[in-house]
Amino acid sequence: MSEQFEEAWRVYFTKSGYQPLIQKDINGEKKLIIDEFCNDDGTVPEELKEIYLLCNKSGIPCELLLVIDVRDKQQKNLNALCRAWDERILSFLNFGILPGQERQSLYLLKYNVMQILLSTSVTAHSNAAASGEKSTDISRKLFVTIENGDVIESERPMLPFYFDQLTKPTRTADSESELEQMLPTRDNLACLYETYSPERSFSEKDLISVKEWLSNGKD
Amino acid sequence: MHIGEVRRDAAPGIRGFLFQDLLAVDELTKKETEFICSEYIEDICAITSKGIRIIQSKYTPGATLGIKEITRELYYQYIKLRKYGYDGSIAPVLGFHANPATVPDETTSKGYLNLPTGQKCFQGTAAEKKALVLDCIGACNKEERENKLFASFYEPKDLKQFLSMYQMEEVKESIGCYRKTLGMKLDTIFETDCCPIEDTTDRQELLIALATKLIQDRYNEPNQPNDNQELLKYRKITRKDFLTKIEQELASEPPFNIIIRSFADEAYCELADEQLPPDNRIRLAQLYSSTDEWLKNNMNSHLDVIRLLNTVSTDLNIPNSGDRSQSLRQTLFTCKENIKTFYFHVWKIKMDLKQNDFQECLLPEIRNYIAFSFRDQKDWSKRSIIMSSISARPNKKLLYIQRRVRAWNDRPQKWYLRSPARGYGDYSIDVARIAPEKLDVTSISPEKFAVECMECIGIDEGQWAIVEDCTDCIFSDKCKGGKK
Repeated sequence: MSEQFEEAWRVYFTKSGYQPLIQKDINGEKKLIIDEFCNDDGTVPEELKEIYLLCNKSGIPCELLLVIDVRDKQQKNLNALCRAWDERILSFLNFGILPGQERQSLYLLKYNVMQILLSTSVTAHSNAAASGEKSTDISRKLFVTIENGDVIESERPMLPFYFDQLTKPTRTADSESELEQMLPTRDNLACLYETYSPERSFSEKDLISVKEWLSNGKD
Repeated sequence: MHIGEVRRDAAPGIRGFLFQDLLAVDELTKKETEFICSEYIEDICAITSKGIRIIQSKYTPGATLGIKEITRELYYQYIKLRKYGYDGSIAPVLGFHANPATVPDETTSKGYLNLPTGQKCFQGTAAEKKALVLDCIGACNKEERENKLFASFYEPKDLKQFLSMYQMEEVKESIGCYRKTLGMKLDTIFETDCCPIEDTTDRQELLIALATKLIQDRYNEPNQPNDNQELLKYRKITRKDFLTKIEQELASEPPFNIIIRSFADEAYCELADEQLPPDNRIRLAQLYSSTDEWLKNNMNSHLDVIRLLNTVSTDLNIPNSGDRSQSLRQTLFTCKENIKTFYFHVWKIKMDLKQNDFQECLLPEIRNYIAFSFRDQKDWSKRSIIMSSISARPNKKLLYIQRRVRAWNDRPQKWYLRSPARGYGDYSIDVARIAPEKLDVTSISPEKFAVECMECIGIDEGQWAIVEDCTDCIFSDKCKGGKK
């Protein structure tokens, strides 16, 4: 990812409530106070581009994203690299602490850590990447293709932070009519067109109609 | 020279050794020494080019010695030897570390020895004298034996001679420093060009370790002869043999167990000044000697050393079994403080549990690390690891330990690790399984573990007299974390 896009992501994340954890000092040196994610000499690993933290409304950390650049890594080393980061993540979850947070508050993070691995197109579609993405050990792994300094458009929706604001709705008249044809008409199943509220219950007649529509759809 | 008497042996494990062993090493470093015997006649008996030195050893920091008792014992040996026919020089020596002591004057000594006012010079042939000595030392209790011998042979000139030779040799340093000093002394004796240990401090430590082990092995060997003459041959260590043996061991590959046991010696020395109740002093001595025994039998191969390093190291990497001995030895020296803390932890927990054997509660079948199970002592964990401690960059060190532990079979359910970390951790997390978990020891899975911060177990100076209730702290599922 180019510096320009790095900055763009940073701005976007900050707007969406994510907090970047890597700071830059006056000399432009990267600083990170989470020891588990640093090198033995305390510096920030070259491949670690950013760490984003999201807290819920009560200020409890609930999501952690590690952006790791693997474009210059060999495919055969990818699994070992992901495992090494998993080891760090596990150690952080077991023993770590976030600035200004109680240790106990890390509990929600436990199942919500993701490695976003910035890859070349070849790497992102390799077997190594596929097996990494299937693994449910310690953290989720997501390989995304970087081209021209940014994540390619077709892979952006896979990013957990990729919300509507990032892109314009791509609704077309065609798809709307296509969808209309698949749905039952308002006359047949009016109940499906009403706003749902938990208090409301479906009548026996409604349920039969839904069932009929579904079994017709199968054919 | 030695006269038949019941074999003197302190109960196993309770010997005030180490200090005594160091005194013996000290004797052997002296050029005039021909040979020594430890635990024979007196604590140490040194034969020198000038005569005999009968040495009693006392290590009681800050205490005032019972000079009466000591004087009686030394005088007893002195008269016995003299009257049995030994006519060389006999020097009775008290080698000690305690409050300063001086040789008593003649009047005081007479009082100590319960001597008659007149003089009773036994007139008889050498054979008759010998017979009387044997008769005296045959009395059943010690005081009777002593009094009988003193009274039978009392001549003022004997007492005068005894007092003129009687020496108080004070070791001013604590036992730990004395050990180091002797290590340096040994280092000056040897040509160390071919020694595989280059670091001076490490080499000096190894030297003193080799030296004390040579001495201890003489009286720790099983199946020692009962006959005193035979025993003498067994216990005798000549200066020449002693120096040759150390030199050989040093030039070749010093066995791992020697190094590892020397750290136990050092750790034990550090506790010598702790004010312990007598039963715990004995227990600690037994724990030390059973630890030494276990290490001797179980710390010999590369895999054994890795088992220990796995247990105590907080570093990123430790050597593997394919590495050279040199590299393992180096790592042992690097990990010395950790190994000592490991001993302290084991000993203190065991003292709290009133256990006196290192092997009690040990799980020998677990080979990756030194595992204990205190389940029968109300610990919830069925497999635990007693580690060392972490101070600097704790989180980095915890990462290194976690990485190592995760690779083992039969991972420990609990880490006894002195560190800021406490509570529960996971060996693995399946992100697809997000059902809420109970943090409850009754349901602890093999994928979970607990870290016990050891804050409740005191191993620092002055804390050894405190007996902790492990059930209430480190064995409990609720860490008190110092908030007792």
